[in-house]
Amino acid sequence: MTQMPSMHGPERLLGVLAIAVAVACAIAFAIETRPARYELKGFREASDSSSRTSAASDAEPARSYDELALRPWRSGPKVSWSKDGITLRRAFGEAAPPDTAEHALTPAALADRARFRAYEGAPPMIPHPVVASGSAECLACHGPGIKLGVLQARPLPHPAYASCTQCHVSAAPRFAADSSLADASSFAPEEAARARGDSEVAPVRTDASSFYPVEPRLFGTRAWAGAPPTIPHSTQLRSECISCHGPGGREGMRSSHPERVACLQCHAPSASLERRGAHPDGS
Amino acid sequence: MNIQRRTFVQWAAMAAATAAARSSSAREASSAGLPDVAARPDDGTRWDKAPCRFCGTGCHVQVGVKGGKVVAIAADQQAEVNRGLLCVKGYHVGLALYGKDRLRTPLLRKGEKYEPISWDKALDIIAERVEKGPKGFAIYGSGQWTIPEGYAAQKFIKGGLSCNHIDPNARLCMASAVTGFLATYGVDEPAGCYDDLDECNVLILWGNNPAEMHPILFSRVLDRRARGDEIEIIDIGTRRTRSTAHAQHYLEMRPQTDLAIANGIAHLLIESGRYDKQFVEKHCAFRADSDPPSLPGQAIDFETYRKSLAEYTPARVEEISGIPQTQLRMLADRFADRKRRITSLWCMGMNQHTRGTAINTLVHGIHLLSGHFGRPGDAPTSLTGQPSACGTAREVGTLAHLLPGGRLVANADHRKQAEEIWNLPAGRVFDKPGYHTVAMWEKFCTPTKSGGDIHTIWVQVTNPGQTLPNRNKLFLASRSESDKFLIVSDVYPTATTRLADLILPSSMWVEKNGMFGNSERRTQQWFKQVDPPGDARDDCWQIIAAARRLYDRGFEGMKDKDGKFLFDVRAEDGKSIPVWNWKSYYDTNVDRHLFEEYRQFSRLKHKDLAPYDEYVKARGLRWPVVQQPDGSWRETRFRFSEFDDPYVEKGKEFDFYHSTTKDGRAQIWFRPYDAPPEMPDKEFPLWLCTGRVIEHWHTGTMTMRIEPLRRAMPTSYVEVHRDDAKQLGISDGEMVRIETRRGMLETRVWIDGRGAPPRGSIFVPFFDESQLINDLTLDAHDPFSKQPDFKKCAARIRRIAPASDAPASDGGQQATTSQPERG
Repeated sequence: MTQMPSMHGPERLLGVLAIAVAVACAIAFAIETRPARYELKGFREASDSSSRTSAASDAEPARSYDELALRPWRSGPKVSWSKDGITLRRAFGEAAPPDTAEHALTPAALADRARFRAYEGAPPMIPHPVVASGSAECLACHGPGIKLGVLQARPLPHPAYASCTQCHVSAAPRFAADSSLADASSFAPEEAARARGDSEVAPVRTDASSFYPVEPRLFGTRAWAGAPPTIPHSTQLRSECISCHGPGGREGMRSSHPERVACLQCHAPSASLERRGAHPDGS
Repeated sequence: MNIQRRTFVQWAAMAAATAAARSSSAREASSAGLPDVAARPDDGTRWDKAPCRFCGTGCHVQVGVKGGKVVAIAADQQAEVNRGLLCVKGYHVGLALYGKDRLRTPLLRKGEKYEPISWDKALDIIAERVEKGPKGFAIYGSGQWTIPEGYAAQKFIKGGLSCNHIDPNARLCMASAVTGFLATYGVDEPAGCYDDLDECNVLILWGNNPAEMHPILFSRVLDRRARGDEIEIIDIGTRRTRSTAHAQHYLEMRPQTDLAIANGIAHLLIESGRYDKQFVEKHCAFRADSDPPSLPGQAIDFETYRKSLAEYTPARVEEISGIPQTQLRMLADRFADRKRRITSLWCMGMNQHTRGTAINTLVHGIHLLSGHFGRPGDAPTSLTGQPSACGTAREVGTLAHLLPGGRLVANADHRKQAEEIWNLPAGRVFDKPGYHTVAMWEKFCTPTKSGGDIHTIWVQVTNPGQTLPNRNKLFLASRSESDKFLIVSDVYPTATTRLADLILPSSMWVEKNGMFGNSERRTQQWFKQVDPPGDARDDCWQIIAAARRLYDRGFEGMKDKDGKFLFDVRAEDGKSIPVWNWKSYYDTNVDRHLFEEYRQFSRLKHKDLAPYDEYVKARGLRWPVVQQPDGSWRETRFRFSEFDDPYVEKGKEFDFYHSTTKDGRAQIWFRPYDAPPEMPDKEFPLWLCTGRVIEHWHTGTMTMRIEPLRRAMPTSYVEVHRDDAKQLGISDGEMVRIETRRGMLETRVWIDGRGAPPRGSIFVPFFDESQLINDLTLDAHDPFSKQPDFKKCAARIRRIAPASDAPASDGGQQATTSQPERG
């Protein structure tokens, strides 16, 4: 941890304090704008629950993971509040996040995710034909991240660059060279095949290559049981965590608490995965 | 102690991670439904820098290596060129090493079959071919050679064999850019650099499609626009491309008429008096073709220049080019406006042109005439297609007429300088230039008794069997001559190895040490990071080992004037290191030895290179790299501009210190428009243009083995205009036969596809080795640069009878998996 001295001591405390104050203010603001029963400024009726005596205590307390397993996040009186996340609604419509992390499903999710990537960190191929020249066509669906039938267009994990096809090419070519590619020519082979119940869609990886890619790490590390896990991948071009970990992400990769949008507040990236050089201890 | 502890922690972490990954249900692994994961975030992948293997942009990647194999690639955030981004080829560059059909052992052709042989035998065969007649032994190399590889080959041919028959594939790619720079500034390579793209507010694309060919450079401009900068993109071309989609103005010209357009701009600037008089009077002179034509041409005065341009009125230019007068005036207005910063980009559109030198000089000319030169953002900049076309082909000078560092074979002083640095007896370097690419292959294809005096060509790092124009004449014909011998060093079976007599398996990219030089004068270095497969070995080693075999057999040319081996490498203690033995090759850094020797050549043309170790530390440095009083090394971004170039005298503002007129002036050329050598007619009514696509790099020998790229673009095609298709009765996706006077090809029609050619024009990419478009192209070439024109010839399309209109064959698949065989 000596690599990140700014996260130590007073600065760290200040940072946490600032965020807490900001969250409290935001919630206080939201509450102020609700129609009050009395037109008395500064006065608010005491709630029937003793936990609602101040704006700060109106925030849903962060539960431990152990608690989450027993009592899901969105149970209880705060359920409507948690669905109000503006970002979430914009990105995923009515899709709901899971109540707890879906670790059992993670290996399958990562395997599914890998089918259109040459290696962990490679830009994914486009699972449908494209004629796009600029970014406007792409952003029509991938900007907000809309759902079209069985297809989920995920919102961009990185800021919109102007030339999408610089990095992403179609896995559904205009002209297939051989029959093994025929499947890929149908629109969105990945989701379409899943909808058909097919399990096998020609993967990007084939026997024609002896390239054995680096595989994604399953999970981040935890300092102790119950500590927030570190981020198990590089964050380069992945600043929008909600793209994969939001309610529209693959089951097994979705966050149980996407309302908390300051992800890096609790989940630390790794210097070695970011290729910033590892700590002398190797941590 | 610390290391041991670290190793233990790593071991423990890896064991824990493996256990977690193996557990069938991660949830079961811990009581609270939490996976028991490792305490260490590092997965054991080691990362190191390397420039990308593919194009001339020169992006840096981070190569992830684990278990002796490349397992991942990441964009290098510290690289100024690409700033943490790559294109789709770059992201997949690591996979290029792992096609299953990598060549692993030397192969000698025996009749119709190949038989594995030892390196020892292969070296003897090479030596015998040299001894048969050193003057008939040629090397055909590449802009993908690393700098030390090209330098070794250069020294082998010019210092060792005393013949000058060495030419690179770069002749097919940027030779006209070189002659354009030489004729204008007296010295090769762009004055500006990529920083211009951060400053320009007008970007002119001259027959250029950077959205697909140099995506990183194009998105650098587009991303500025996305951030709110106002940038006008003007696309002058013969076909709509992905770049056109981002341009405010698309000027669709008839092929070859870029000369008329450039002259038309100059004409308007002069006639309206809106050229930069002060800049021109202080820093420029005028030039036109001499009789007989020569690269330096002859001086003309301003009046002659003005009168020569007189016929290029907007009306006349419209008549020739098809560009509306309003668009031509718009272009002239941009150049007349000194407040704007104008960067011109070009690549193959202007270079693969029978008037390539002429159009290169004209575009430099309008930048000089208008004063849009030498301020950040004001630059005429040619781009290169290969990773070291500049570093190796141009700077090392692996061309038939050059010696290292911009020296000429025909210049006695230059030969003497080379002989001194190489410690050769006087007169060793032959005084006649060797054969350029087209001539070399023509002589190789001509029977010996009819004057075909090239008996052996050794090809390295390139695929002429697919890229030579008019392939039947310049490549295939040699294969029926029994005394002609083709040696090919490569990493995969290619259209060239399939017809070779001796195939040598090579290491590639991070399987060896290397250095490249990109389009903006940036010299880059990387270290070997993984081992090559089987018995594959470095191209540089192959040259040195062949030289040593000749030396051991008593070949005088491989001895310097003291009798020492030409590639003698000594350790610091003065002991000779036998680098010609593969086992000893990596006992030292041969690249470092060769580069330090080569570096001595770099001062003559002020292309100063820093010591090798400086490049180890940097993500490339742009020459001239000049040592500062404090001992540090400083790169140069803007050549000839006083504010940045240390070789410009104080107070001069600009100084073209290699001027052909020796007075510090750049040359503004007049060159007339001439019709191309072959134009559509009744029999062959269509223009045929060839080129590239974003997914594939050149002949696809690497990218067709990268599944995501092959899958995205598995076969070639022909783009046809909808109205032409209607007239011919052909529909989208149908197989057609394309014919020219030289050959034919069957492929599929794509209407409104990736690009959109205008009526009367078709386009075919050249990456697909199962559909060789270069059977059809023209071998006519530029008189100065000798670069052929792949961009225009006359063609026709025919429907194929419905019976044979079967689905596409699996040729692409075959091509990537079959073993090399004659056929």
